[in-house]
Amino acid sequence: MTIDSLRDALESVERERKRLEVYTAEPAVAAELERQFTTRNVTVDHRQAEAFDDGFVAIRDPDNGFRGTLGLDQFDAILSPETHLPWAVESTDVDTRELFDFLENTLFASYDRRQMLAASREIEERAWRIGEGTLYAGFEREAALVDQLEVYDRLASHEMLTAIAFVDDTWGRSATDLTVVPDSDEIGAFWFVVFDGAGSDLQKCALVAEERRAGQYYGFWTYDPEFVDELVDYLERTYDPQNA
Amino acid sequence: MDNYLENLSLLSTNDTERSIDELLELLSDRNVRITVAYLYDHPNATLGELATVIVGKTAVDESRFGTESDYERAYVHLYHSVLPRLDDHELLTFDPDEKAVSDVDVPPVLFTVLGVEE
Repeated sequence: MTIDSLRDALESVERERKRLEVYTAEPAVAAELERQFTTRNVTVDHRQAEAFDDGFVAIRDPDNGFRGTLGLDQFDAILSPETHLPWAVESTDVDTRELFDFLENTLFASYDRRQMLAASREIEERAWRIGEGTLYAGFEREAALVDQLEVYDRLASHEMLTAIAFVDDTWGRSATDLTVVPDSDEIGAFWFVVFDGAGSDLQKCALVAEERRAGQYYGFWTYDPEFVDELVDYLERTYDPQNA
Repeated sequence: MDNYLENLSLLSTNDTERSIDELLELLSDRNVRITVAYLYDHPNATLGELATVIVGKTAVDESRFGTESDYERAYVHLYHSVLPRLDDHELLTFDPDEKAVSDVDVPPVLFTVLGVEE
């Protein structure tokens, strides 16, 4: 797949609707998960399982193929985007590579700015820890980058890491090592943070969200290395940041 | 279902058409226990559904992610061992072509042993 725009990337994730089967003796547990996933492009089915005190979930792809299972306790622990972002569970006992595959391209809706900042911070911290590679960050408006300029100047001057910021229209300030790409159109509507993993598939991750109403974001996060590569390729090809 | 060992004495106090030894031998297989327990709610389960349940129970018991290779192993074990054995003991009918079970006839005591309320 070749991405032709950030909206194109978002729509490709929307088409991959997954199914979540909830096996539990407690219908209320399944109902709660259904509520949580209403906006995440996931269909939730409850399977009554009277004999199973500790329930579990099974994920199926759009073609009904089996993708994986996880105990409800562990699944709950990774659902909160603020405290348990999927790429932040590396210290748990769960096999993270499989978990990343399992949760790749997760759609979300109605994040506010605070939640977006928390999610972005996880990717920025990953880039900081790796200390090399390239971090791409779309801020929509100049004012948003001004708010984060100190953070991004530090990221850009950290070890071998390269940081590139995108803002709508003009950018009048001078920054130290930070590359700033001023552009228009989709840059003014999308908040994104993409880390190329410095060549490691295990470290690649991205967050792309469209501001559909003021302060309300709809988008996805992904740890699918091929998809992240496509996003990087799209940004490089379209905006040529090295020559900005 | 995890406490089934404590409930085994129930088998000796109930008349079933099958001997206690027969039932104990069947229940010594973890995948048999999971399968029978799930059939309580889903007497027409498919092979794929039962394989999913076995992998799901494994994920819970071992606090890990149940993978596609776990699923393949469970599927093969069900197809070649668990379901034919349960069919041989006339606890259900297994149709290998349809990859589904029907006519489940499990003695209630067996469900009780597995922790399902009857």
